[in-house]
Amino acid sequence: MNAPAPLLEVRDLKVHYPRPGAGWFRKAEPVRAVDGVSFSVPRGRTVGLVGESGSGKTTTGRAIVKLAPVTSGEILWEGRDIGRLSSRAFLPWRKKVQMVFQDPYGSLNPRSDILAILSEPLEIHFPEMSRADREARCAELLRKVGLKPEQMRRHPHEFSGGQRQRIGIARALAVQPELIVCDEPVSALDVSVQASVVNLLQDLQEELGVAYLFIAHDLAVVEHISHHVLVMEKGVVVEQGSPERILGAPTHPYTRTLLDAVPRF
Amino acid sequence: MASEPLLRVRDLGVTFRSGGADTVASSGVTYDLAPGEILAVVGESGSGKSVSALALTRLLPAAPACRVTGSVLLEGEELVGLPEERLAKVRGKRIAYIFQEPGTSMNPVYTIGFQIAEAVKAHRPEVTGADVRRTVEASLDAVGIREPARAADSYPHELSGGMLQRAMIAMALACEPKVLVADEPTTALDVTIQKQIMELLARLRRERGMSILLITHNFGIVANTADNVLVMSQGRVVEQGPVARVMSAPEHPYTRGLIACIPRLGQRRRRLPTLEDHLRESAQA
Repeated sequence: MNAPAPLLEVRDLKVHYPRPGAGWFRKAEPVRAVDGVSFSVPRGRTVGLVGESGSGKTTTGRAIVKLAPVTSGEILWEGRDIGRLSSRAFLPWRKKVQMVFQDPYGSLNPRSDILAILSEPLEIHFPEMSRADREARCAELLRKVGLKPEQMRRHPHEFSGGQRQRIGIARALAVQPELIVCDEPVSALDVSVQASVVNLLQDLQEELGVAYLFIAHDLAVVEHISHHVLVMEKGVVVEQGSPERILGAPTHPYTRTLLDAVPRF
Repeated sequence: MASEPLLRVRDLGVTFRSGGADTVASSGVTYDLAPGEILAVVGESGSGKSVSALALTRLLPAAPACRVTGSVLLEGEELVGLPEERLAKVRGKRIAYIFQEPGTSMNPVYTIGFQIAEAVKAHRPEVTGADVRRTVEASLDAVGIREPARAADSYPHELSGGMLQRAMIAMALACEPKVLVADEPTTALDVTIQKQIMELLARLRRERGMSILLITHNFGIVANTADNVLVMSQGRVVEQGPVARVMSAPEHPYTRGLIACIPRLGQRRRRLPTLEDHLRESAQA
């Protein structure tokens, strides 16, 4: 008997960008941002993706939510390839895969209040929802991420960085996704605030069974939250396994370099 | 005999005024910085750590929007209340700053070399002609940039974040400051680059006897670099002392919370302890 297909499976994913300066007569080698990456994310689990700037970890995450062009390879959602769908055909999947961005200051529209920010995905994916239902859903979402429903008429600048990241998480949760790609969700926050956001993500996973692709450069946070860890360098996965194995007994020299750089005390 | 402090800060306070109301950003900040000492100032966003460092040379809005009170003695000279044109000679020359985002601290339309040369010409009139370029390249070399001449001719967007932060440090060094204020110098950088920059700061202190005021929200990077630490919360210093003592036996609950909430490798727990949990528990105890 075959095991059920994982929620998400990525096979030999490549994202190449043309290098600037290439012309009609001069073919430049493309930038291989992601160059043959394979992994899977089981339902309700967290896969950590670690690497430095330029390793391709963010591009990998963006390709999954169709924010980066796929050059080749497959992105399978419960066995079905969604990597090559047109934006229109992708729409039903966008409801299942959401994203939380790194910069809580840049990813919320400063002119919209929180109600408008949280309503937008609902208007797109649940057009039949009434205004009152949307408002009720927003109140519920705010409560879920530890904010107060009374705050929904406020604007992003009235919130701290940690609170804004909670709003970003609430927006991702609005359409009841099965997978959230979290791109460095805590690295712009104070260490003291990081802990509470990481705890929130774990609580939500327990409650809702949502899976995460957790992209970060902080190894300690990734070790804490992940069930499986991938280490990326220069567009390829150099090592993957359980967090205990990867961070306790790394075999690849690059993983060791990353580990050595973490301050110990 | 203990060495005379290079910088003697007493009861330093910063108050902002807007719309007729006063906001105290920091108050009662007192410390000494010895020659060659690395003092870390640790606290969360809004704790007043950056503002009290900017207040040293009044890199803040002019009065009456902002008032600086207390005393800052640099080699015996009082800086608080010094007229603007005298302070301009202290900034960069005797107390230099580097900031969190090296990318936004540089002017994108001039080369790195041009910008460092500008600082040299402003603060070291004795350096002239071809010596300016030599000083620029020497300082780029001192921060571990392999091809200083090439880096000097590059524009900021051509360098990586780590290289830019090195170039920022080179710019600060070119004027041979007594004190370097490093405000979250590695927060925007990858861990491996963070380690390199911290090692660079430690080396500059060792080789040049430079004093460093290291501002950070992360106790993790303090442990391996600083001699003494000052913990700030809501504009006040809640604890200060040698790093080893503060890290091993923190006295203030806020300090304990800040140290406890850092995720550490090899210690998997169900939940990460948060600062709020910590403060709540200690309030009940």
